[in-house]
Amino acid sequence: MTSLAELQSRFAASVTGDPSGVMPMLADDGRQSDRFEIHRNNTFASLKSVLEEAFPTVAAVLGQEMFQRLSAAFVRNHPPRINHLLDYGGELPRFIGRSEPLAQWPWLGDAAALDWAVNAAYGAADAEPLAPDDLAALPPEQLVETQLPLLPSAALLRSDWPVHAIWMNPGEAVDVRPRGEAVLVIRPGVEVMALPLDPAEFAFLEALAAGHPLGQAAAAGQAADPGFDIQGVLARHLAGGHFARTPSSHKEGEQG
Amino acid sequence: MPAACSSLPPTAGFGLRHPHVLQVIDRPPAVDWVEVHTENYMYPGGPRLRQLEAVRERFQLSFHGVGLSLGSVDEPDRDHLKRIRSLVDRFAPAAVSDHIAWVKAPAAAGGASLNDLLPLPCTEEAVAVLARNVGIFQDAIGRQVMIENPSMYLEFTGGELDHAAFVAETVRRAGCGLLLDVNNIHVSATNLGFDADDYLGAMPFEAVGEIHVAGHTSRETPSGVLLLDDHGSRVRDEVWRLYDRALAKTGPVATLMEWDTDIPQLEVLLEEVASAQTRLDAAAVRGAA
Repeated sequence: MTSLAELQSRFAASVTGDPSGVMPMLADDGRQSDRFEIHRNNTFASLKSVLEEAFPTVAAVLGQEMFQRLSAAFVRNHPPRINHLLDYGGELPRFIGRSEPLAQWPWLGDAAALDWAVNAAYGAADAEPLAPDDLAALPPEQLVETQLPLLPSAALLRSDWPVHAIWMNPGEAVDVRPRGEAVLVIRPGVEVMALPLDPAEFAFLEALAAGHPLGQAAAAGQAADPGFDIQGVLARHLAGGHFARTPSSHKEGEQG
Repeated sequence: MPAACSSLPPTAGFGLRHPHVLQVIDRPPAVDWVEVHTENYMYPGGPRLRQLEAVRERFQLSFHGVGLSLGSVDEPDRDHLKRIRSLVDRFAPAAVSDHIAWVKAPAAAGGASLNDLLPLPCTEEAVAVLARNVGIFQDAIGRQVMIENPSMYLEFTGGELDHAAFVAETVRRAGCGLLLDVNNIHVSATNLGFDADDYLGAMPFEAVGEIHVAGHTSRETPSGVLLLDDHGSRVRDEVWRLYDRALAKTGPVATLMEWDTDIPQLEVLLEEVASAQTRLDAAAVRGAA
């Protein structure tokens, strides 16, 4: 009698790999191979649907047949480790980047990273946004020392390729030429947005996201572009509700 | 006599899936309760959880899990239990359930989660593992749960109990409720060649806290047809007949219409809910007579 541990180990290995290992454990009615195939199909088909939903740009660029092959290869190499699938696929962008058959789309890994950021932002933790008035109350010397964390849903991406344009219109992603783009993915409220950023704005937000105070972040923006419009950019992201209200910003706001 | 595992009303509800959520919030149909897949709401935040709050204001909830892997030789994942606990605390569902199945490979073999409800051998060891894991589940969320009888496509060698006895013994040893899926009985009986009525007759009816009905499909394989539990169509007549026989034993009990693939317009789903409700009403009359 096979132990349950042995049975489950061999069954699982047979789902993602060579099915011959499980066969001696199945009752022989001449159909056991077709019966087992139902389970193999369930795993690969359902995980393909999960990945297709999380990576719509990749699916649109590759088309059904090639996406299915990519999905199957990914499932074999990176099967899910946790039993809910809302976080499944985080390794796919790098997997694509390392894939030789996909090398003809050198930008596809970056486009996948953008898909992933959008997917992750949807279910990210909620946070109260910082209101413009919270900052208006601060004296200038305190303002430059203030940290402005982005919302928990925020992700900053930079690519040597026009990933935002590709993400907007994957059907037109043919003969793509290198052109750097940076993107902020964020979910203020219920809707996920992907906003293209200019290089100085990206440097500024990246510094803030790394925890640097506003003064240093402004300097990072100016280093990228001497004409960086700190006030305009800050006002725009404040108005969009892109910064999280922290216990300290809350307190400072009330003192003002 | 309602089972302690469920405080759902003895009426017909349906499985609420994402394509219908906003419509159901906007124009609530006349049902008392809906069921959701617990794993579909394991987000830290965001719109899905807010939508579920709006649903909860109008309907009672049944939380149906597909990911705890109660049949795994390893104990249930502690983080997964915490996520369920946090959803149960927040939404106070009238019932909580998962399956007589395993999803995740043993940690010693890599621990891959295969996203399918995988079959167990009908052995004493598997009964003991399920009973242990259901106990951990119930302790972790502080309430009784239900487990669902499986859809089977294959048979392992070395079975020690028949399929119905395996389910009944597991429910008894685990001290939990039974989520009786009559479509799964029909699918398993057809695929494995046993009698669906015999299986049904061996169920512990006093433990039934909810019944599932659903559609299935036929899949051609090189060696012949297998029934596939795909929840992608209306309920077949033979499943309705099994359902009526189950109701004759349980009396009116919360009944769920499940539809998970090729999801139709809500109206179609509600027609199936109405069919179940008609049968529930007839069972109530029979019970009173």
